[in-house]
Amino acid sequence: MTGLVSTEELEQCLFALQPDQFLELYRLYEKLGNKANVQPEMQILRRRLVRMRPVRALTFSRLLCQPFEEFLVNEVTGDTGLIMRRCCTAIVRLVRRKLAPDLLRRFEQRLVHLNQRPDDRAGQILLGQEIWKAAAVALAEVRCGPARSPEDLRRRLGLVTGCLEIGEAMVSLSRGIPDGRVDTLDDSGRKLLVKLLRGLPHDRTGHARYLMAMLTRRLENPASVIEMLAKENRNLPGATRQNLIRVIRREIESSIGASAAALVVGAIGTRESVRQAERLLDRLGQIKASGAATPMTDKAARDIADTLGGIDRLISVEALRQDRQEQIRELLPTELSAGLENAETYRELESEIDNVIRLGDRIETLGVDNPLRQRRDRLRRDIDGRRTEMMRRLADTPGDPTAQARARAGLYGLVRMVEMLDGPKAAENMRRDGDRLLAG
Amino acid sequence: MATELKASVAAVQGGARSRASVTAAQKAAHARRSHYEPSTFLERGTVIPFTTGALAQCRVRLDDRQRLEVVLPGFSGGKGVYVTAFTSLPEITTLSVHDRTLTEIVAKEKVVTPTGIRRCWQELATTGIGGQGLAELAREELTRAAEVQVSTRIMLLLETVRRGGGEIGPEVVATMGSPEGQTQVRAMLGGAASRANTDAVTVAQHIEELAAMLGTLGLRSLPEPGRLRQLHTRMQEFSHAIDNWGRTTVSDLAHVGRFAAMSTDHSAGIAGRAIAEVDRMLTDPIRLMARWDASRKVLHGYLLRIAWLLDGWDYVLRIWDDAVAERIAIDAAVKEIGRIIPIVPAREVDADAGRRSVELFREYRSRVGMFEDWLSGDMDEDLRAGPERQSAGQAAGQAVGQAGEHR
Repeated sequence: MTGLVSTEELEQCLFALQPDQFLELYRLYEKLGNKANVQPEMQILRRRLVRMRPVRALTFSRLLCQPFEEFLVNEVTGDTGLIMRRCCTAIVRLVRRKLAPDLLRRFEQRLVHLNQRPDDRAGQILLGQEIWKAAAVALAEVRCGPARSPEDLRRRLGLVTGCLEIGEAMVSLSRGIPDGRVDTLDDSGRKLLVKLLRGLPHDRTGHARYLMAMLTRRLENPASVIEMLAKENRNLPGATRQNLIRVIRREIESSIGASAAALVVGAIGTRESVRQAERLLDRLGQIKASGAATPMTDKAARDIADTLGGIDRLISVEALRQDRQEQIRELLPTELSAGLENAETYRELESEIDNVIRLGDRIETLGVDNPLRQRRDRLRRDIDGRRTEMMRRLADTPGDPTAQARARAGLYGLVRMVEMLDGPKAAENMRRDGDRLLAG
Repeated sequence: MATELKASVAAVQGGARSRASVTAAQKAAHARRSHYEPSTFLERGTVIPFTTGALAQCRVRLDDRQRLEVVLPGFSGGKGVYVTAFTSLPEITTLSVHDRTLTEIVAKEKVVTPTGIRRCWQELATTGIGGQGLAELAREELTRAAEVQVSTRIMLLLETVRRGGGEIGPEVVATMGSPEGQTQVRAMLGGAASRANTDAVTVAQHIEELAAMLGTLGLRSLPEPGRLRQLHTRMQEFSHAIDNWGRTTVSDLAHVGRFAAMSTDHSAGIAGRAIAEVDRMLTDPIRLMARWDASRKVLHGYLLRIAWLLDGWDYVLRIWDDAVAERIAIDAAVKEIGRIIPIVPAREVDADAGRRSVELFREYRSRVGMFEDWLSGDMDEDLRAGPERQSAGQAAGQAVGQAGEHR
């Protein structure tokens, strides 16, 4: 299909469909599964699927991977205790090969029934329990030869098996945490965690490692779990609590350390680095505020600050393409396309100021040396210089509307940057002065 | 502006069967309303795209003395709204320079319709005062509208010539972008002009005007839809998404998600019917041009109605998109969406849809949050202070008890 039409054309057609038609097509593709060669189309559909979040059909692979879903990522950078998503195919293949054909057939039949009753959550968990238990036994016997499995899978097989052994607990906890960015567990989440910890097999701390690793990954402030565990003296024995606190502290340290080490700008680009750094600094701030900072997390904070200080320019913009600029100029009247001359320079400056302020403020709260402070001062001096120059030139602006529109766009762009650095009052004064000069 | 306001009143009246009492709920300025249930678009006001977080989704409208006033959703997360004079906004919160300038422009031009406010914002945002990101967004929007306008004009020309009995060959289509090609096509409008009882120049003018009117919506057959048509599609996607979220989540806010899905369905359904009417009118451009004055007025009314119906939704969708991209927690996003979701005013639609609107407003009011009075929906200060007061009372009681024991 993609051989006959270009990807762009196909994307345009698929995105032009009405939502209902689109869902119908998605269900068809899903039914076809891997048997049909529809992966390129699914890649295109995915962008719209993320927005629409349709209920997905339950398959053997999806159910099997549920206990360790939190650890799946598209790309692993550094030793972050995560599994590449593409390893799932290998895991499913391994499990299918090891399970008895009769058992596998029975599982598949029950899945077909479950798909007819999508609201039957209990049925899903019951079947899941059986599959996870059987898969854990099967995988425990597997010795991955270097030639037969991806290296990443060989390193993470213990994690996969462990998660499958406590599959129900992993899935329950994952469902008990609300979607998206969550700082801490709420009341029901806390009760659920304690219940799950009490119900773990005899090797409570060993298996709890996976629950704690999941919480470290899901919660923006995993240190809050330490505070929570410290208060659970009625429900958990003291030794277990101490062990669990040690485990989660280790998980936090390794997760933060690995993420800080993975902050390699050259490999992921400035935009992504800034986003990751911001999130990491937020997490570190929360951990520090919870009183759970350790020498390791302090070191991670210093490393991040050093990495950010080492980046020449913290800009995260994609330059406006020249042909697009020309197209805009052709289609819009001059007064609306004026300022395009400055757009690229201003966008870079704005992005730099924005990132320096946001990241700098976060580093300040961590109490480590802030290499971005000097950069902020340098930017302020630069903007002040531009402002003086601009004000000097404004009075000489010719009276024709095109020149006025260009000058106003230049002025207002700078006003915005003054606002970011010095606040709205200074910016408003500058705008008024500039408008007065322009009016002449 | 006066023409636009008249047109919007006409559109409002076209939607409702009776004359709308525009200022019924606008008795006093600087007032807090617990029960905010606007019955017309003009009473609901138009969302003004401020960048200051506290003013997100606030609406501007005219009071009974034709002065601008602003309706602010409750700051504390409650269901009530604050109504205040437009000029007093800077006294309520610190405005960004973008917002302050936009306030000045809107006050100067006195616009209260979605199209008017959008035009003011686009003109301001392209200067870069709200940042280059916003400027680019505004320029993209304007460029897209211009592109849609060009494509719409070409499609309408082709359709008009075809319906007039003519045929445009591929060689003419290839040159349609150039002035010579367009002159060539205009010369072929004779058949259509005689069917519409007018001349070819007038037909060409009508097509130009139609294309300009349709810049934000575009034709159904265009590969790249106009802004409003795309917003309508995204609303339907959002409805699916938040409904699925409401049915699968363990969050306490599942019911808010379902309410948001119902409201979205309701608004999208009504907007969809108006869009379908526009599409139906444009299937035969010659018939439309034969009764130009009347058809133009009706079409303008529908387009304005679509703009009113979809007003405020892009902010709702942006919150959701941000949450899906994990920049904020989905729970927080759903809570915010449930608070600000636009509901179609009951008197702007037919009886059935009006009943549905009333049901949705009732559903909105009947949600009782923590520390909220279940009758008014206001924050109950006594209830809120309850646990503290109770613990303070207990402490005081204990202290008295201890004092008694000591005695």
